[in-house]
Amino acid sequence: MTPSEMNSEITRLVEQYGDDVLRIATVILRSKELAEDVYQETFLRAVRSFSGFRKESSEKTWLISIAVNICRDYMRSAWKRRVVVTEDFPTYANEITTEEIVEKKSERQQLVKAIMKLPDKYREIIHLFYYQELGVKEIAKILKLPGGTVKSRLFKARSLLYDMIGGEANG
Amino acid sequence: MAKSFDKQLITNNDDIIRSVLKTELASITASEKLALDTISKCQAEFEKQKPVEPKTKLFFPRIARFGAPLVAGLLILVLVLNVPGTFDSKMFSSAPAASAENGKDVDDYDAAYGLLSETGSMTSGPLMGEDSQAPEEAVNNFEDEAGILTRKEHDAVDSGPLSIASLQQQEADEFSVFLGNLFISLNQTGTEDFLSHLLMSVLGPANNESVSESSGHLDQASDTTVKTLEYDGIKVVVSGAETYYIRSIEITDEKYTTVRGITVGMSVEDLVACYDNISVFEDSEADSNNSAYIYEENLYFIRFEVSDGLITSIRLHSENQ
Repeated sequence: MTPSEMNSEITRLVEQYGDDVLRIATVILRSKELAEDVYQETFLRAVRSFSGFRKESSEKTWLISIAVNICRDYMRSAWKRRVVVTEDFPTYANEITTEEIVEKKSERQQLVKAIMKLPDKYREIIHLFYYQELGVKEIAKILKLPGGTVKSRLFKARSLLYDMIGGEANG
Repeated sequence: MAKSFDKQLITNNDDIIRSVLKTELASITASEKLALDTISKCQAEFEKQKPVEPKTKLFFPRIARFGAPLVAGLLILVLVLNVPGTFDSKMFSSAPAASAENGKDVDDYDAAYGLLSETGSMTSGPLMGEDSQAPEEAVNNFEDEAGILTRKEHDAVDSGPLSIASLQQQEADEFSVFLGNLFISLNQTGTEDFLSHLLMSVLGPANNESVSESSGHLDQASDTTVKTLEYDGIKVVVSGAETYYIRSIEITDEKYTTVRGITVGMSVEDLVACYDNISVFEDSEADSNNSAYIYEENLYFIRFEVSDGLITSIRLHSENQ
């Protein structure tokens, strides 16, 4: 691949999947700053391993997988272990502030806050399943877990979520 | 949570969770500056990239890499010792213990020892006899609590390219396993050589070692090597491609302890007292004296198997790899 071809490929990947990468990093790490670091590192690693990308998965799954691994590197680092992360949803400058139905907005925010308070392993799986809309097989590949574990973890995550917001369990 | 929360918002409806996440996360977008910076860094990264050399996974080339310098060193030593006048074998064959019976030899030895001391190279070398060992050295002769390494062995490792000191620089953490005052931890990562040195320095040579290859992870260009190393009472699984991780540690011998001092053979009461937030394995239907207890932190786990009220095995593993 020529440099110019690679440049356009990088630009396309960043534009197409950048927000997805940033969102999963934010959900996993619960930190805007760390998520932005993960964002950059994800694409740098993608460039480094581009020739090794076997096309066995979609580009999105591949990039999400890299991002999840970088997040896990951050989580395992001694530095991160000393960082107190917020359990609140990080606020971004362009957060929607238009007049919505206040009550509904509040309820939705409660749900998001509850997701952000889930333990790491449940939070990431909720995000991958509901937000990224990945299947159990893809999630299993990304998290390097058996499919059965993904399913049981998803079930447990939902139970916890419903308990946290006072709903009925496991619909 | 507020009691006014509309349960129907999510109950029985996964679509609501999906919809809420989609809406709320939509506010998270990369700024133009962040995107441009990233593209720029990626372009720079691509331009400086060099062709990647295929990574050898063979055992023998690895041995050759480390063995060749060692063999070369030994050959040089043999040659030096065989040059006439360089080394008097008689002088060293009369070790101090034997020399006590022969004053001349003692003088010869002292002369030789003095000479060697000046070089600073053999002041506590293996050729010294028991009676020539300084009392303070005898006191300091290092043997850690579990008797892993003598001082000489310790020093020998310390003088190597990867010393115990450097290997153990990282602080022990919750997911460490101690043997005496040395430890290994799930958080120790590095090259394959680094982890090999680490395990060798703490656990010694493995009784059994098996290696397998698995398809690389989605973000890895190369396959993952999985090594299972078995020692007396402990099994360690290491895996990786470029960076290697200790994937799991399983203890079945009481000489190994967790960072909180729990080991095989201790009671479930001791366990619960040490790990106040430990949980009983959720799928376990057995009673509290015959169950599995899980300590968990950020995708790291310690699983204590308990039988008849006593811990029978301890397994530390991480999904963070």
